[in-house]
Amino acid sequence: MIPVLELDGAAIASRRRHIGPFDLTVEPGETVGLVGPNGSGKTTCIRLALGLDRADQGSSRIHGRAVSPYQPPTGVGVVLEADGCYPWLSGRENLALFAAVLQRPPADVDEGLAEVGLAPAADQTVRQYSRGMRQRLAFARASLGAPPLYVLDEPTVALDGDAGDWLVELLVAHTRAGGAVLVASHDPAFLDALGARVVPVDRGRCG
Amino acid sequence: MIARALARAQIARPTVRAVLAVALVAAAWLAWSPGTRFGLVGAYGGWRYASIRLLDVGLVPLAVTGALAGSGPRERRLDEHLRTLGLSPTHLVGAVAGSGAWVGLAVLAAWAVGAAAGGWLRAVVIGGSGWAGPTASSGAARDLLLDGRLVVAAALVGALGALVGWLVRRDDLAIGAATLLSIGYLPEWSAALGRLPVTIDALAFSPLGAVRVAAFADRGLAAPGYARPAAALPFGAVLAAWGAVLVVAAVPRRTRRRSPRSGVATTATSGAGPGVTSRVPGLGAVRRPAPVTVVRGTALAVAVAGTLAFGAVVPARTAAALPWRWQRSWRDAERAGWSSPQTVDRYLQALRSTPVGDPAELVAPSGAVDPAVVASIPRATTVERQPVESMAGPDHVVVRLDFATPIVSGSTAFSSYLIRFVLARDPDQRWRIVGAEGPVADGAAPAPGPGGS
Repeated sequence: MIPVLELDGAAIASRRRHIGPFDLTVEPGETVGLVGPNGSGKTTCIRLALGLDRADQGSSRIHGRAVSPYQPPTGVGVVLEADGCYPWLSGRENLALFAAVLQRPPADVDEGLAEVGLAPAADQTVRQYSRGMRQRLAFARASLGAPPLYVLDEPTVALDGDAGDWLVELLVAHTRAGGAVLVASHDPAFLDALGARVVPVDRGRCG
Repeated sequence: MIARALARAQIARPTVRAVLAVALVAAAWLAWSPGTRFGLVGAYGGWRYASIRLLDVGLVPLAVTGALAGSGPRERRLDEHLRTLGLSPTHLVGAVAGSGAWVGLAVLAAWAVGAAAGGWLRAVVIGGSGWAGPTASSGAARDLLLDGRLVVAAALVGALGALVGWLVRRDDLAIGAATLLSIGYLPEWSAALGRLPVTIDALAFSPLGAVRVAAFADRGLAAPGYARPAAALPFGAVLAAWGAVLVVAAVPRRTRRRSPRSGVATTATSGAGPGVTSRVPGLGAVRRPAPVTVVRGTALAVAVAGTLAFGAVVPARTAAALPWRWQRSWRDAERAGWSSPQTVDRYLQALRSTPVGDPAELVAPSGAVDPAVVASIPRATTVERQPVESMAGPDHVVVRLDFATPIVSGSTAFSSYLIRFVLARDPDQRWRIVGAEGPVADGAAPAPGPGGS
């Protein structure tokens, strides 16, 4: 079976920094949790996996396809540290922008907002959102197009307890349906609830 | 489609809307004064006059909004999220440049609305007559050609601005870079830069300068090449070269990567679970990769150096394609005091001085000015010559005469006249008057009753 995500010795090895190499596979139906202290390289690992940063060594593959800054991934729902939203647009408008890129129908936007509990605040500008609401919006965007793989960087950092439960339910249902999740988190309880295989990351190395 | 979606998001942005509002007000003001004071009346007159100012005064809002369209997605990391949706870097940069082009068209629309509104308001509030002579308009076909070029130019400036904004990544830097690139084209700055002629020539070869020249190349000096659209071609090539440089700089460069196995010692791990291994780099094993493509900064530096070099030695044929106010022969005439508006100024001064001077040397040997025009000039209470910025070309200068005591003709009294002087350049590079059209009445007042003057 082809792994959903595969990092094969991917590393950043520039004059200024040296992080990695990372070796990691995520199989269908699996949740992998990256854990480690701040600065350990979790975010870099995720960025290399998505091809957002160029790997000076090694490679990343998603759904069996090589990924790099020149070969972007497909079929991935992503929540990154930066929310990637325009603060002057409403939640609905921000989501509609990405739905247009994915060529999804407008109904998907409302459905996505309802799924994360943002329907009542859909027309407020994102500037008015709390950090937790922005996190929900980011997850709604990640869910557009029902991707088979989620890659999430600290998705619970601004969510309250109830919201964390809601996210756990969604992700568990996703993996039960054969999807996969790669998540970086400081929250052991969240990873436990997901039933994640924990991979420690320390000083820029997996293992 | 992605470009339009990104552009819509930018146009909804308060900063961009504020710039659009500034563009609208600026165009309205330019159409109000001085534009339509010199024979271009109403909404269409306002547009005809103020439209060409889009590429000097309007260039700043055009470039700034374009640059914000490029920096916006990067500063807020939308670009990364868009990449994870499967957009390749080339596709993404293309979409961002496209969004800049749409935003540029939005600025053009605001400019057009402002110019038309300014012209219309002035016609309603102050009145005035349209210039009725046979040479009043340069012709519908030529006007349409210019309008078409302005549309393309606005889109191009927006797209180039977006590429610059994309490169600098931050909104504040984008605004600064776009302002620097566009502010040199303000008439006030052009005059200052004209003291060092090479800077003006170099401006023509800069990204926004090339857009300007390509858009206005057929508005060059009266002879030769005044109506020569083909003159736009060399600057179209300059523009294409700039576009290529900016795109190459904006798309991430590829570097040769080493094999994942090379120079790395691999150890098995324990307890990491299936599918997970760890590698420990060996001593000195990981080396800095060698970039194999041109460094972006070098490409830009070469382009800037090339621009200055071209500016220093503009080939004669290319120089003739520059907009008339940018041409060296025009600047030489200005320095010598023999540009067309300066000649008209001296002509007016000679006729209005006491005793009346002899303007013979200001009129071309083959030229003649209607006696009615000559007679009306000394009678005027105030005389106003149109500013250089409002001149459509170097060969026509409009003068406005205002009369404290209206001139009565039949049942109407006229308080203002417009006179259009026609000039030509001598072989000695001096502009001399060859004729005058008019006077036409601009402001009318009710005729006084019997016994009035």
